[in-house]
Amino acid sequence: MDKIDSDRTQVAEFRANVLAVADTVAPYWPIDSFIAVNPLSGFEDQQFREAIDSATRFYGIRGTLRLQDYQLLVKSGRIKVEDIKIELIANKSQLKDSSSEAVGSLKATAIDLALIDLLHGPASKEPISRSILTRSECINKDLAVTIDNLTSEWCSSYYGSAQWRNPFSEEGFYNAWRNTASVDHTLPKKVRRVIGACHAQSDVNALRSLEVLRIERSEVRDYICAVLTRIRGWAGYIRWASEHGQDASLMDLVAVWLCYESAFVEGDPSLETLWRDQQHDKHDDDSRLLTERARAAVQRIDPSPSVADFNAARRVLEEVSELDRRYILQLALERGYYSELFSTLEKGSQNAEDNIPSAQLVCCIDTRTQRIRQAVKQAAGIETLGFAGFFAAAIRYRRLGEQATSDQCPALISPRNYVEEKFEESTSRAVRGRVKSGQLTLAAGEDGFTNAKYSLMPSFSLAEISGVPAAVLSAFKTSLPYQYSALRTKARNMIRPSVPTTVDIFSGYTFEERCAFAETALTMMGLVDRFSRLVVFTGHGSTNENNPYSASLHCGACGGNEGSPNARVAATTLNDPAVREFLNTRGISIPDTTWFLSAEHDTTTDSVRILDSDIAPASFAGEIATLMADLDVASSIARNDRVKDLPGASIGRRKSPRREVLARAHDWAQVYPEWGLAKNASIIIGPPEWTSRIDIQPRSFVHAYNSSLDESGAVLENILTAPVVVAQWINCQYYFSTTDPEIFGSGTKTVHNAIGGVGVLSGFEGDIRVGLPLQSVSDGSMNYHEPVRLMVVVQADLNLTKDIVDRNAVLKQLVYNQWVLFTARESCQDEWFRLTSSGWRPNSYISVEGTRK
Amino acid sequence: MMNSESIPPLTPMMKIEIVVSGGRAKAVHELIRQAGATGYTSLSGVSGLGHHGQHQGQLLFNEQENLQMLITVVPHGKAGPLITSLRTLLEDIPGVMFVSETSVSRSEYFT
Amino acid sequence: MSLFLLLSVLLPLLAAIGGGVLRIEGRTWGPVGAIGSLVALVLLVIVEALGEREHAWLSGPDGLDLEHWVRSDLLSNCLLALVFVVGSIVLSFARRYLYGDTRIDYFYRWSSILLSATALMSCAVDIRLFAACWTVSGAAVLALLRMYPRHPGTTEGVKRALLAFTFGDAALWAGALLASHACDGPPCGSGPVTYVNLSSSAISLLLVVAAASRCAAFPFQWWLPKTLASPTPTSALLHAGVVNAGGLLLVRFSGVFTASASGVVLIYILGFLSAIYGSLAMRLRADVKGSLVFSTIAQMGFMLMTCGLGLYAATIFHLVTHGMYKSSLFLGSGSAIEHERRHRAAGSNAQMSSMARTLTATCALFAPLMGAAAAIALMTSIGPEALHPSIPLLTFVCSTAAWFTWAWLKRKMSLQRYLAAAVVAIIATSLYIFAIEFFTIYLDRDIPSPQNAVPPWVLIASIVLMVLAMWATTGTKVSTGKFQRQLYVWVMRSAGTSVRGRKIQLNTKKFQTEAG
Repeated sequence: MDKIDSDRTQVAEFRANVLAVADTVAPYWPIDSFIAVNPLSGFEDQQFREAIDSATRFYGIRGTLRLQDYQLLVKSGRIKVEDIKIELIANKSQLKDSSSEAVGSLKATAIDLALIDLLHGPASKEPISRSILTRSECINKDLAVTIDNLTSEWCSSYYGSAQWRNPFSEEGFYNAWRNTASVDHTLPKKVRRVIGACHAQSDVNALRSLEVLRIERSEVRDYICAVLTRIRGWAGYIRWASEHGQDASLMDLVAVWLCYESAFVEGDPSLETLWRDQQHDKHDDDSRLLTERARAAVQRIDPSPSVADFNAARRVLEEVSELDRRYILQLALERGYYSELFSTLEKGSQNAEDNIPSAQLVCCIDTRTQRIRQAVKQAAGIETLGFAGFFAAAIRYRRLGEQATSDQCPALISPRNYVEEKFEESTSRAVRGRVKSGQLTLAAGEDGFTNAKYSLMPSFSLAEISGVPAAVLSAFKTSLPYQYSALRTKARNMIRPSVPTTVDIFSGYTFEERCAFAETALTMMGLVDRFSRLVVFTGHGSTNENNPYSASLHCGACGGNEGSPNARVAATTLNDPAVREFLNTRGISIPDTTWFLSAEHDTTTDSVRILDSDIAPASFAGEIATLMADLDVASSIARNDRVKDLPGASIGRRKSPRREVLARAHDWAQVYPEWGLAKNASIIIGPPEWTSRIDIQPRSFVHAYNSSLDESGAVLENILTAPVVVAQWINCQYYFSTTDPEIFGSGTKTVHNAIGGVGVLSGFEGDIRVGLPLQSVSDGSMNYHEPVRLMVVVQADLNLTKDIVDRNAVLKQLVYNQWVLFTARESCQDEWFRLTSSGWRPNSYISVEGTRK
Repeated sequence: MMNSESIPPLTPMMKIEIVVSGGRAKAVHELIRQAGATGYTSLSGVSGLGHHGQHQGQLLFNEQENLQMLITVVPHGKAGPLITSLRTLLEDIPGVMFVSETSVSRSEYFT
Repeated sequence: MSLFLLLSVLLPLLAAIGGGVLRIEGRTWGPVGAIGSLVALVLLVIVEALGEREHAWLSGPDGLDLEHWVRSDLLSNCLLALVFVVGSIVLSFARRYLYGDTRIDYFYRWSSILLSATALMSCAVDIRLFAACWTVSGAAVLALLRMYPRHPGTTEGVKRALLAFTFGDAALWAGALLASHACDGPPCGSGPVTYVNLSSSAISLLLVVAAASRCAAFPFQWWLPKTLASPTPTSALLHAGVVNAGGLLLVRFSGVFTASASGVVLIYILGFLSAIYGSLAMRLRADVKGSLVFSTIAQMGFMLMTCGLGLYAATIFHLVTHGMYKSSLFLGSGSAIEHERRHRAAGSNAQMSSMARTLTATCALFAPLMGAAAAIALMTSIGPEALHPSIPLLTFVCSTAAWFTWAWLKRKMSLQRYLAAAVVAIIATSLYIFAIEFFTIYLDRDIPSPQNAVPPWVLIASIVLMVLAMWATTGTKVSTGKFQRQLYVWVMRSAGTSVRGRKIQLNTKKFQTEAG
């Protein structure tokens, strides 16, 4: 009896251990609702640098660019030598202490020597590899890869949506696997026998496997991490699924992997010995590199150095480890950007504007809206303000005639109201019928094709029937992408006419909820007075073709969807007279002369389309027409600016920027439809009067915030705990996809092999790939994205801000562990301060000499 | 003071209360379920002051950071493994656990 | 055969050489070569159609007798159309798709060589020249598969392709040398040849092995899936062009190949097995490209079946159209996520009563049958000689139409919708029949009728087996039976990641003692 009890306790403890280390892998949102995550989110309780160090042990990541990359950036002037020097002194105080003395008889100080090493020193040739290994990795790398492949294949057959449904799936992940693998004819007999004798409970069996593998109790957690990090894609997917109410558990996945491993290596004599000295002795490599570095550095100062000098130099350089070198250069790169940012911010002085602009555009904080915001301000004096693109409407949305819904809200929260798209009331019965039957026809046609394509006999003649038309269409799509797409849309519209619709906020929200939502939204936006005649909620989405990563280009605040439904919900709610009446009682009086509109910004073509303009009262018709014209002008300004950066864009006499982006957006061969959020590096939280006056690059998220309207700090607290957190996820996603494109990025798009509803493989087998593809961060020859940690810039009361950071665990971690840098000032007249673990410190990113280029 | 005779027969049970952040609540749910508990109650948006300083109650747009309190009642036989597993989990993540004796009147609901 | 044809066929190769010498980017010359060939060939066809064959500039210089080596006939025209239409599309597609890729020039170099080799192979009538082009195109494929040498799947993909190609090329060269040795005079074209009996079956079997290896048919089905470590345009070229070479070999040298009955029977069996296996694996794979790969194996199997039946027109028709179909599916494979999203948005069909099911199914079956009957009746009225032995293949097109109609009606059954479907089905079926009849008559001039062929009743038996296999894998309750479950595991693991191919034996001795 005691035995059983202790067994049960042991199993329970093991389960808890698996759950406790689950966040070593970040959750992976299915690719059709791509949510950016920090792949190292489980390491955020450590300082950024230490986190890279420990993540290297598990993942074998670099965590920074390669040394050569930085050296190239120095050559191109992107990193300034003086910045390197500043960071070197700040981070290597031991070198600074001896800074005045020369090293040996050389005409250089320790700092000089280290600097030369950073600028010209040789890089390590050894590939970085992880040090916490599974037994199978130690014994035979191929075996570990085979186990990964087998496990991934099972996941894909269980979670994928193939035509031939897995007949075992009703038995649950683990038991279905047991029943399959035990009759798998490709496995060696011995392995099959072991699997056949598995325990019916995954946790019990996993514990058994660990025993076979001789894993000691103290080792268990690290070992589970070592397994999870090998199959981080599926582990992340399962983590997501289990956190979103689906029947999935990491325990089952771990049990499957361990069972394969133990079945393969059981009885292997090396189990007893080999792994105990698994730590491959890196010392030799390190010491060889150090010698090379010292030689290279010394020879730059003195072509024929003495042995004593050489040894002295070697001792100096020993202080700067391999990671130190890259990390210091990374800090210098960041310093360069931050200094630029603050010198830009300095320029804008704020003076409140009294005259109310003709229109106000509420845009998503997304960096891509920056260009259009600048342009619209420039071209028409329209005021813009940034807010998370879901406009505080966390909805589950159903499009007209569709059966599935999409969750249109940030990943941090769950949808709160259910909203359907409906026919406009005036729509006639006949039209409704035509739309419905058209929709059915399109779906049935697609069904028919898919059904025949995936069937045994019909597929043969289908290929024959559709071969020639397919070739004609392919040629058309490849040579004239935009024209093809326009024709296709026209054809679809003939079958299913597009008709005016509304979003039904009345059955999804109670009146009280609508009022509460309206009040929250306006308060959070800081939009409580000075209403223009037109206030436009501008959501955004992207147009692209044949791209598995489409959702990564849509609005992140809307859960990887287009933002227009949320914009429509916000506008419809605020146009409701009853809601306005309620708001009036709460001190927010919206004049009758104000109308709320919704719009959609297409980030691939930079066009802005006003939605629902037909239901606006006639008195606004003139203004809306003017606004549309202004937006067109702004679009083309933004587009002309943006198109210069697009890879392979051929703008000339024959091709206008507009035609270029249109072709790009509809081109099935295009792997760079747009740059997405690449280059993001900061988030600026301050009054729109200030931010709209300065020329902020499209590298910043910009959130409107007016501290004078927020004495309690409630608004600021919500901004810091939601948009800032999401911006940091995005920032880290881009950062690590750039620094480690094969581990935390998904590699090149050209070999991607999509699994519907889940993600992509690279090639035929293996794990699903996490992170962004190479084509999202690099143009092939050069990184387009510049990995820089997020700089949070706030204009608010310093004490209040620090209080908010201190009382929210997530902010405390991010700020004090330097996952983001945090600066604030109280008003335009004040100095900037940086928040560190020891409190507010003067901001060192403003250079003393004043303005830098 | 109530007379002991006036109390109808009750079954002794263990009550376990856990406070963790919303993002971690799923892990606790899983442990409770796997320990064989028949159910749990959860309270969201709890606030307070603790080992890690002040804890904000309700954040508008970040449910993962909101604290949750989970309450479950299990028979003594199941309590041991559950407590061990929760303790193991809480070694790594911030949170607290309270364990107390309690009694229920309809024991079949909890076994 | 004119020099002009030869030059236009070799244009991609010349472009590659020119581009290499002048150091021009592959993006610039690559598509030009392919499209240039296409344009030149279209011009040539027009000129020939105008009956101006005798132009001096079109034929080769005096004394250069190309006719024994290469020929421009209807068969080669069909194949050239496939090669250069798909080539032009894929190479233009790659201009943007591979933009910025460090290996883009490498891709253009080898894909141009591949195009020229395949095109020349389409025109080759001498089996030795054919074999040479075959080997060159195989080498170009291997090079293309090695485009990303550091990708974890590349090594295995190249290794497997190399192994399959070595087998196939060895068989082809042995067959080619034997064949050219056995027949005197001008090297064997497609005309019927008589040999000594022994060598005729040996040669036939050698050609079958060569064809099966290139088509990734049984027992060579293992190389094609692992080629996915190369970029999408390479897959498109591979699946549209390269794998078809097996079919071309058998049709072009049908005189040699059908000299022995054993070869014919063997290719039919291999084709049938590949068709079943490939289809099952296609239905089972959840990844879009994996599914497409096995679909190709199935389609190649079907093509080889028609070959075994001696229906060469059907073989060529299938080969050309499937090439176009599969290349466009590969190029568009990035849309899989969007398709899945749309599929979910459209939702599942409303539940149907068993009565409604039966009715819908009957209706779905009825329309294409009517179309087929109408077409056959029409042809019989023209004359019984118009009826070709390919009539049994109509079962397949009927099944496609029926399957399509079934899915179409399942969403919503109404008379109107049924009539619409029926009209489309009837028109499509009869059009298809006419198309294939026309194609047969058109091609038969260049392809002799087979000496040996599998009798049509075998096809009927095969169809019955296919229907059973299809039934076993549909989403109905049947699919959870014991046999189906075993079949599922067998297909999943056979078509999945390989365990045995790798060196994962840890301690060989120990393993042997344990197993023994």
